Amino acid sequence: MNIRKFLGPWPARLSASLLTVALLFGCASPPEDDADAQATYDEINDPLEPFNRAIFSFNQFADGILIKPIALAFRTFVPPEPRQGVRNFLSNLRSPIVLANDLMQGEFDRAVVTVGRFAINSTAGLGGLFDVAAKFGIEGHREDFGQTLAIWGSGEGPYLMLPILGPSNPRDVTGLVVDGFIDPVPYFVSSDIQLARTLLRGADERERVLDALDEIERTSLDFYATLRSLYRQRRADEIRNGALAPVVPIPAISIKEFEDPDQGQVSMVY
Amino acid sequence: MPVIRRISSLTVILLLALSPLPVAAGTLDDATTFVQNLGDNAIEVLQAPDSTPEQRRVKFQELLDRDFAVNTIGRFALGRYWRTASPEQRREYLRLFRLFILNTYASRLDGYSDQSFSVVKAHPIDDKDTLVNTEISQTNAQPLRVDYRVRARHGGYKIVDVMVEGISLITTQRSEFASIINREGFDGLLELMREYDGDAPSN
Repeated sequence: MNIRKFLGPWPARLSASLLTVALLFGCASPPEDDADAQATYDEINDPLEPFNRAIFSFNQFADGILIKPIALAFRTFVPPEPRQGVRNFLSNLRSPIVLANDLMQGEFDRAVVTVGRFAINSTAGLGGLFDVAAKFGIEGHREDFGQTLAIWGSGEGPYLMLPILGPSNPRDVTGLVVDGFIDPVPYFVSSDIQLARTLLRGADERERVLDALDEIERTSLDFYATLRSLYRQRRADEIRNGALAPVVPIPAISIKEFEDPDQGQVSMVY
Repeated sequence: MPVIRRISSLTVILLLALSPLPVAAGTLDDATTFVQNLGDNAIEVLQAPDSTPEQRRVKFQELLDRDFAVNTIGRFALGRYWRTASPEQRREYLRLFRLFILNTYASRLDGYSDQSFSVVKAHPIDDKDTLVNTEISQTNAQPLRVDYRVRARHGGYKIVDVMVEGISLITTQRSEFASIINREGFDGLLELMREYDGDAPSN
């Protein structure tokens, strides 16, 4: 079972307390003896679903009245160029975190890229406002400690919906906390500036996904379930650094599967 | 000219018999050409001047029915519930699934008007399928990675999965459907799909 696999290597106090809270809300119970049902249960990986859905409802509410309006205002009142500047600046500030994680993952080529970009963008890019390095073909990448833990062999643990922050899991929560300690910026600036940075980052991240999230919500039968799948697949892809995903068998459909004694004709096969 | 015809068909047979490798290499190229054509067609549809959403929808429907293995995808998306469904349920589900894909992706296309598309490379992933990596260029952002999993069938190709930035369409769909069936049953899923498609039961 996933929870046990997760608690095995590094039992975090945080996940234990989250589990306790979740138990108060009730868990989706694992299926008993059906192997197929068990496979589906493992694939969905969301034993805390009732609890997570409750948090998700709260997040939807908070997003509707506060977060989304702020992101929309950010988009409406700040022209695209300064917004791109803000994004570049914030992402440049994260370079030390990306570098530390590149190194911890043994990705030395990527570490060199991170250092090079930081040097170029902090100087020629006027403190990170312009992504000059990308114009020379040195593209950036993201890394975080959640990904490093995955490279080190830790499982993701059960899916978690965090208040305000959204989709996560115990591995990524731990990553957030550790990245917070790795980040040198708070040691150099006041807590007000650090707060402003965090809020600005939130506005920027939400603004980026305004259209995509609206679209996904509109075209989902179950928005919560779709987001869960998207988050888990996206993280898996980030961890692989874009390498090929494992191949899932997709069995072809055959006429036999529509054979019906009452109806001779099979109209749709493919 | 029967002699020439006989010679040329003999040549073809000889070539096929002597060199199995060019055929395999040809498959990769063919898959690439297939995806390239599909992409070009899609962009043509999207960038057609003065086209209405309805016209684009009709064009998209043609592309979908011609180039996508919609029923194979639908069956995969239903996961283990496919096996326990009756033939009628399967037919009804697949009918709704096709409409679902059509409604979902036809409207999504409207956002992609002035982008360009290029095939990056193709590689075989198993004995039937080829993965074709493509990129869609975007202004002010890194290109979007879109991978097509195509399957050789009846001398042509059909798409069995599309992955955007590593996120698989069929995996996402299966996960969503499994969640709905767990909570509301198979009929609950069909009901939601009908509602979404704005559709009444077929019988």
